[in-house]
Amino acid sequence: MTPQQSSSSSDMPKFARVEAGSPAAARALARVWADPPGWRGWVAGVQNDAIGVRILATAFFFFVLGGFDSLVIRMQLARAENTFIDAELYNKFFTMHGSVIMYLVILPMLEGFTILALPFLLGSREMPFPRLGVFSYYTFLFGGLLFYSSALLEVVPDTGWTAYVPLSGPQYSPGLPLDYWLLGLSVAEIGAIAAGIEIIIAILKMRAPGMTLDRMPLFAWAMLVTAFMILFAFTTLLVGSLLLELDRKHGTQFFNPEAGGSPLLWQHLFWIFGHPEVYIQFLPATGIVSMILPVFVRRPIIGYRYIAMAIVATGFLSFGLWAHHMFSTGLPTIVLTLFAIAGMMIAIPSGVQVFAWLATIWSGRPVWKTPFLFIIGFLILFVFGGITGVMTAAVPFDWQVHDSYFVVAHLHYVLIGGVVFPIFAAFYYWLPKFTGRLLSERLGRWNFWLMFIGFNVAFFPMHIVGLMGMPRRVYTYPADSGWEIYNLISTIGAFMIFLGILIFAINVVQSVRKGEPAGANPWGGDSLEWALPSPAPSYGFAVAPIIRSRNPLWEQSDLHHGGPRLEALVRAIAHWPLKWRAALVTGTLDGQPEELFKVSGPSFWPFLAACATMLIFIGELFDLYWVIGLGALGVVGSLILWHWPEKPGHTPEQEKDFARKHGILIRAKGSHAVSRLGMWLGILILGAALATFLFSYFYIRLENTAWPPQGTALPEALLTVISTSILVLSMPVMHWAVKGIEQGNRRRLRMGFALTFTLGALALGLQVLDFTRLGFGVDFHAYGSLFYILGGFAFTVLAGGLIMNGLIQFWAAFGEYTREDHVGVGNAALYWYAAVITWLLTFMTLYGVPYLTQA
Amino acid sequence: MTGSIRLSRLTRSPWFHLLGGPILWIAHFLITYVWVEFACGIRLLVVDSTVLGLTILSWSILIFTLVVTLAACYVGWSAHVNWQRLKRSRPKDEMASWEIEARRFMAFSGIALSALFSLIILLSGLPALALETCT
Repeated sequence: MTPQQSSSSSDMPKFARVEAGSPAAARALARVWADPPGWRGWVAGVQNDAIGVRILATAFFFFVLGGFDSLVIRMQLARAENTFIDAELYNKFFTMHGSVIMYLVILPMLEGFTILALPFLLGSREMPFPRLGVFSYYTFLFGGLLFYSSALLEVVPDTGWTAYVPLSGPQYSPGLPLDYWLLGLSVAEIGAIAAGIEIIIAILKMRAPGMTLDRMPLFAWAMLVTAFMILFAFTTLLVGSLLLELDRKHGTQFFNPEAGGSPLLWQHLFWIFGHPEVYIQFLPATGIVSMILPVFVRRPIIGYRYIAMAIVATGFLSFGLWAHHMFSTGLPTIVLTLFAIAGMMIAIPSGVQVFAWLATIWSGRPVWKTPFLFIIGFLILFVFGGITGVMTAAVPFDWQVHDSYFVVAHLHYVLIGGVVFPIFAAFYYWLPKFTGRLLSERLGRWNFWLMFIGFNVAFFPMHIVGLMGMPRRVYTYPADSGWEIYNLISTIGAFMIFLGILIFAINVVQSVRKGEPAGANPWGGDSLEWALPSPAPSYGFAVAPIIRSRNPLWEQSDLHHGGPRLEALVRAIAHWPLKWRAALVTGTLDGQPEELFKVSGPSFWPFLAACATMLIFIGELFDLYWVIGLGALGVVGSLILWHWPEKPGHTPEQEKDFARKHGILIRAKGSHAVSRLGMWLGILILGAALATFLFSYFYIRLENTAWPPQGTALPEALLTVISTSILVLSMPVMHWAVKGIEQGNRRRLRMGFALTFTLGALALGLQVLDFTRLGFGVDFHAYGSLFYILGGFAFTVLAGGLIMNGLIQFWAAFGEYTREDHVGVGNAALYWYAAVITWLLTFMTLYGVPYLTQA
Repeated sequence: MTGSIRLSRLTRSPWFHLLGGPILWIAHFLITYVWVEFACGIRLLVVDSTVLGLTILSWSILIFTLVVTLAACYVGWSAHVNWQRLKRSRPKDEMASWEIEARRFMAFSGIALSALFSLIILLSGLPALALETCT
């Protein structure tokens, strides 16, 4: 069957045959997967579709606010020497505009869409950690509201979305505005990281049977790479924000050159986040393009493997571009070339994708519907923005246009052309799947042309005015500069874009109220979500699909055909278990079924954990230390109760019977594979944070000739050697305990964990004692600041290990762990080893480097 | 449910092939960056001493680049050997074929990514032949 035979009106696609399951099973599944009604559903509901829609709606709300800021900016710049707003207010507007769009709009939209659609695209029933999704949403919402509350209290930040020091430091930005910026956005960043973890695990472990890595939708490839990038990039920014907040409020000296710190350290930390951030937004957009474009040219995408590889290559290369933004800061020549080459080479994987899309269009038969118009718009604008990006990778050119409107133009061509246009394509393409109604084509075309023409009218002149010398972030310019006409044209374009977005909003409202029914597959799509009715049931597929192709709806005659054993399994899962939310775990590479596990259900604890997280940041904002303590206690308590073991909901006999019949493990207490991968990702985040702290340490060390500073004694290492030795000794003890439970010996588990706890607590106590005798404080010099922040980080990580250890002992006392089921023990052990390694690297640096690098 | 074919004998880790080249590039990139910043920052002897017209710092970058490029080429070569082996393998059932297919994909990707990143590593090091390192 070919895609050309698609029907736009049938309720179910005429491509691959799909089983909906028996009506009784469908009813039972709907009951099991339903969230509580009313306000309880808003607070405790965990369904991915509800969470995804909330994230999207919240991000759109922030988009409206950020868009309004941009209109004010453009109105001010429309005329030379304009007095519509003053310089101070202008600074606030451009800061809010950049910050909101970069932190609260584009990525949340993409993550929200992923949480909403990914299970359908992968043929799964849910995301792996639905409660983490709730936590992610509320931290994003609370962070955004905290950030925006600065406007209500008239303490709006005004240092731009990059918040460069010393401008954002305590001397030049006193008061609360920058603290709102740092703390509000940090809460939202925690939400982004949480969503990243969920997305990685969903893609690696929760695909439909048979969906091997090379049959995954390209959007999943893009989101997989993006989510890993989020873990590294956002962790770096969180650490950077922490250091700046400490400098601002607690007297540390990380960025103060008069006390051994370095303002350039902020630029490094910020851009290690900031440049990948552009690709964090761009890669999902390319994934969207690779999904939509083939459907509208009626043929499978050309170069699937090359596109997947290009996504991986882009993800890596994006981390080698950070100093691309720092060419004018006096880096050594060879360092400049390193970054310049990475900046130019990233054009190769981007080019691979562009050529694959062009080849697909060339060999297909385009259907010019609104989603495809936005894709074509994307291609034109992104290629343009990409080329100016390569131009700025050339160091001499970059020196000329640095901080000019040329860069503003490039940035917007990449971010609006390269990201926002695909997001609009995605809205037109997928919204009917979730509302059941099509958007108006007529309004869609108006929407597209207004945005496309308006965009070019707004941003193309900025290249010219930038080359003429107009600097960015100026609130006005002289009348004789010759820039006025270009700025006026840009302002007209901005209003055209606004009009286009307004038409989109009208279109959505009209569509939801009285749009044409969409049917299951209105576009003749090839991916799994189009096999489901529109709107799709919250559990997705009753009978799991078996994937044997990259374009299952086009190339498979039956979506459930496979080996007899596998067919029996997917049908059995439609009927058992129906008392809890069951989802399949499949092999990372090959998509073979491994486990059937219980996905966590509705809970108030993730919401409360998000509230408690917020308390910590509010306490810091207003110097209320008891609130910080309360928040920390709340976070720990909520996390413990959130993960409290639940009753399986069926008998062990039923479990064994199903497992025997279908050759698959039943994990009613949660998936081993999923939780182990979650722990590894948690450790990866810790590793990224540690690497950022160590980078900061060594960077500042290089900036100082004397280390420790003159007049300060070298640190005495005796207590540290003892505490570290004790901690290293705890590792074999932990290993012994884990081996014990693997042999079914619960007593050995409890003894081993108790001994490890004692050793850990002793080491921590000794080291804290050593810190009380250091003889310098955090505010004495960057040396002292680094000493305390790195030490504090190692203490916190170890304290986390002690809490985990205590919980394992508590649950073990109630007979929670068995020889077959003890994944929590393994995870706690893994974390413990990571904590010890963190400790070792930290204290080797703090106590070793001053000795090794003396002048 | 695992395939009946024993793939562990046929291949090494597919993730090694997929990620080996990019990780080597990251390592080369960061080590070169830190080394140059360090050497130039405190004006080590290697910055000013020359051998055959190049500073020792430049030589160190070039030699390191060569070593890492060769390592990336090795990853690509090993991915290629693996890809050829997997092409010859005959799965017993459909699920075993999924695994082989996925591993072939990873091996193929490993070849292409290693080639790309070998080139990038080489290009990153070559400027040391012509440019003053610390100016």
